[in-house]
Amino acid sequence: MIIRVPFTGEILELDEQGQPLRGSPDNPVRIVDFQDLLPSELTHFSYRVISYDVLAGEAILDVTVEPRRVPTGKLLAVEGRSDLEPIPETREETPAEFDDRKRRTEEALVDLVERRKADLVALKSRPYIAQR
Amino acid sequence: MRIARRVIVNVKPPVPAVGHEQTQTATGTVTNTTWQDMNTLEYVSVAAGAELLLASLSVTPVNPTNVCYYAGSSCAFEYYIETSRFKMRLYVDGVQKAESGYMTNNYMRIITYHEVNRPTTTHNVELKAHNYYSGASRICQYTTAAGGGNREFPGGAISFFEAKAA
Repeated sequence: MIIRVPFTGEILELDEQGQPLRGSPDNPVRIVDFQDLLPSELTHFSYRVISYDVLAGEAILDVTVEPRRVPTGKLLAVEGRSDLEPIPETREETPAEFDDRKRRTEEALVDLVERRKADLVALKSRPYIAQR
Repeated sequence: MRIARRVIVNVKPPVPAVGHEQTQTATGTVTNTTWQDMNTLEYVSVAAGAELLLASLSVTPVNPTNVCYYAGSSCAFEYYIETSRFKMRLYVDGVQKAESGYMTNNYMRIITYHEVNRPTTTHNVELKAHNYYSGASRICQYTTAAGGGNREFPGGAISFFEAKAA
């Protein structure tokens, strides 16, 4: 699905088409972390930037909901590592589960973009933190 | 508004993208960060909302009309508490181009991004892991011999392609 969301960061240079060509190393041009506004179950998606609308301060994204693994509730011992705590066992999502989650994720994204835009815009003020 | 032409490819280098005759011309050099072996459990701790550089690539396109970046990482994350805390982000010259889904233990994640009309100057392509969790999370390279996993992108790596139009 295609959505428009705010972006943040510092643009140092635009290209001839008005697209960001260079962003600040200390404050890169990036999409806001809108996952913070969605239930964690509905954040299993990826996206690619189609283009930046610099005048509007928004990016146009192509979002793809991805399959996820579902916890079974069992815990598994780590092979060869008795000193580690067991890890949760997971299984593949069924097609019906995926379709349902995909529908709910896309509805939540539309709701976020259309009705909770102020929340998204508020995320633009979040400082950039880089680690090495 | 100009919409950049995109072709999403899902192939492993140096296999050409479907519908394109590609010339594999990695004119840059890949620089991987140093990672700890999982067995040492010496993870790198990443603060909430912070980004960790996984790999970077300096590249100068010869034919800038059609370029493709292919980045991936195979890492282990907060191993015995929560595996889905990180997503990968691809940056070109400090501008975000794409973001992956959550990374998970033992599984490789990739990003492919295709764009047109890049200037023939040197570009800096970066692959970063972003911690989406509300607290600090740990991450390390998945290289343990006992655990298997995908070794194609230990820690993180980026490939670069130039392509001729279909």
